[in-house]
Amino acid sequence: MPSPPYALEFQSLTKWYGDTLGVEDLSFSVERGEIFGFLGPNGAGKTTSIRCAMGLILPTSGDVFLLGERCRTGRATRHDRIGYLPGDFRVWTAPTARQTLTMLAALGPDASAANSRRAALAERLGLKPDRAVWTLSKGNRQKVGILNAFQHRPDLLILDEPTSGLDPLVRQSVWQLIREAAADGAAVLLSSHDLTEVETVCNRAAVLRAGRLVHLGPVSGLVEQGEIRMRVLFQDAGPVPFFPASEIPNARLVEQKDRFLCLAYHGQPDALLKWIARYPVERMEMPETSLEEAFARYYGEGPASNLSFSPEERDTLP
Amino acid sequence: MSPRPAFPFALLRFWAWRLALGWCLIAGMSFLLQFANCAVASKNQNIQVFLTFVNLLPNAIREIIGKDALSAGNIAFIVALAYEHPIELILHLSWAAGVPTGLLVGEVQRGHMELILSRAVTKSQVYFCALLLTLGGLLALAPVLCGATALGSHLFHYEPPLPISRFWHLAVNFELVCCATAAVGLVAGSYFHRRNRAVGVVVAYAVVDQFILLFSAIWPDLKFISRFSLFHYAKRSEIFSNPDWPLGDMAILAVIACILTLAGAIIWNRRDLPS
Repeated sequence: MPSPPYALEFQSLTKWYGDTLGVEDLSFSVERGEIFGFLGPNGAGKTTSIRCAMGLILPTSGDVFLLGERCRTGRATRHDRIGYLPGDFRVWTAPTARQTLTMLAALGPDASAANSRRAALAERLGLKPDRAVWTLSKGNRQKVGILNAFQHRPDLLILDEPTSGLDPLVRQSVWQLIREAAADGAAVLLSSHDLTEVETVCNRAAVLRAGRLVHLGPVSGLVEQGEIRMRVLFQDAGPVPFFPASEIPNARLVEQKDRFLCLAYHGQPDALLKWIARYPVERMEMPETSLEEAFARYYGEGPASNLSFSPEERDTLP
Repeated sequence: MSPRPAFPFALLRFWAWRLALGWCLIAGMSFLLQFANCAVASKNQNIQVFLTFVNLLPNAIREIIGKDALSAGNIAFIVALAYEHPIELILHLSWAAGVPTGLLVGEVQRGHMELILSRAVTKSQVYFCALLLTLGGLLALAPVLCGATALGSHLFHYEPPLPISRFWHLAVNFELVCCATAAVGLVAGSYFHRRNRAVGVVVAYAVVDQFILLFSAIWPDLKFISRFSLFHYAKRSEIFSNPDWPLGDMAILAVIACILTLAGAIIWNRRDLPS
């Protein structure tokens, strides 16, 4: 039987909670072996989308396909091949981590393989699984959740804030685990607020705002679409020029200090450079544009309909 | 098509272990209560004191607890009163209200349901596990009640001997009443988004159930409303006057429990989790 083209596919997914919009007309897909970032501010609809995909909530309309099969709410569609880490990971506190994970592994096929893999994973993450969960710190409880998602070697990983509460070293280990899973052919949907994480780990990303998709494409494209910062140090021959914001609409003044101007622009820098060239400049610096800055643009106020897709993505949209 | 998930025995076992201590406590207290009751009722002097006390009670209360059947010559009936002793009712109600709501809405509220349903387990299977533990736990209390009475009648002198088979009928019938109440708990646990609300509804239902019985006893014109109380279908006097199982009453209780359980299953399957 040929394998389905996508490991995870959202098709016009819409979810309304009464009069409140959860997510609207969400469409994207994640291929096998791909690490896909899922970004958005609080309340953007990320968790709603994920819960629809996991069959926990019933979509108002639209479909989600998991490993080629249409998700049916409450029917555990392909859950034997899915590893899931909820955003708000909470686990029974009285049993040990091992007991809990053994029970969860037993709720699926091939529990013995999961049990043997768990020991290696626990060692990598530095988790002592024989301690009662209530004695574990927040970070160690998060490791229990990561073990639960990875222990049965899933074909699709849905991770909601996987490194929340983890120290930087363990974060690196988790990123490595995610990369290894993808290298083995698993698809990963990584929902995160940690932009460094998305920038480091993901190939493509979708950005949600107010329940709507506002960006879909490679992470590098997302970075390029952000504001680019420029710091200009003028020579002390004369006063620092006044920045004519009305003449250069695609640029703004971020900060002014003595002879130093910090400017930000998006799109073509032509007009901005021509203005700067009128004055004696001592030094110019262009710090690397981070995803954070790009993200701020998408998170900012304004209509959520300014969709920006890469040309390839635009072609694949239904 | 993904294969149909196997029955989650691991979850059933996990929940059963977590509930085991609570069940043992309830069973132990029920056993002690019935055993102590046998010890007290085995002495004629105690019976006389009790019947004198009962005669002082208002007519409505005597009506509820058996009225004419309460006589020095009907020791078995007097012993059976303890099956519906307020402590016994509270113990059973704590299971009937606490377990289904704890396993359904409680696990949702604590965030564990999301974890369970992320594995190869359907919502129906989770509901069925909660159902098995709730009703199974209550039905397993029937031999405890009856066993305590049997042991008590063996250790303490009764003349004539207590008819243990009738006590078995009564215990099973009483547990069916509790199962029907627990089925209300399953519905509430499926519907509500907060556990305390679900528990509140079950407790309110049980209290109203008792009040229906009380009002129907106080006002003869309202006698007909007693049939709306579950306890109307666990009549001690009929069980002790008839050697057969009270199949009619048992069937009514079973049907009520089945309908409520089914309603709970439908609600559970249709609701969003977590809310």
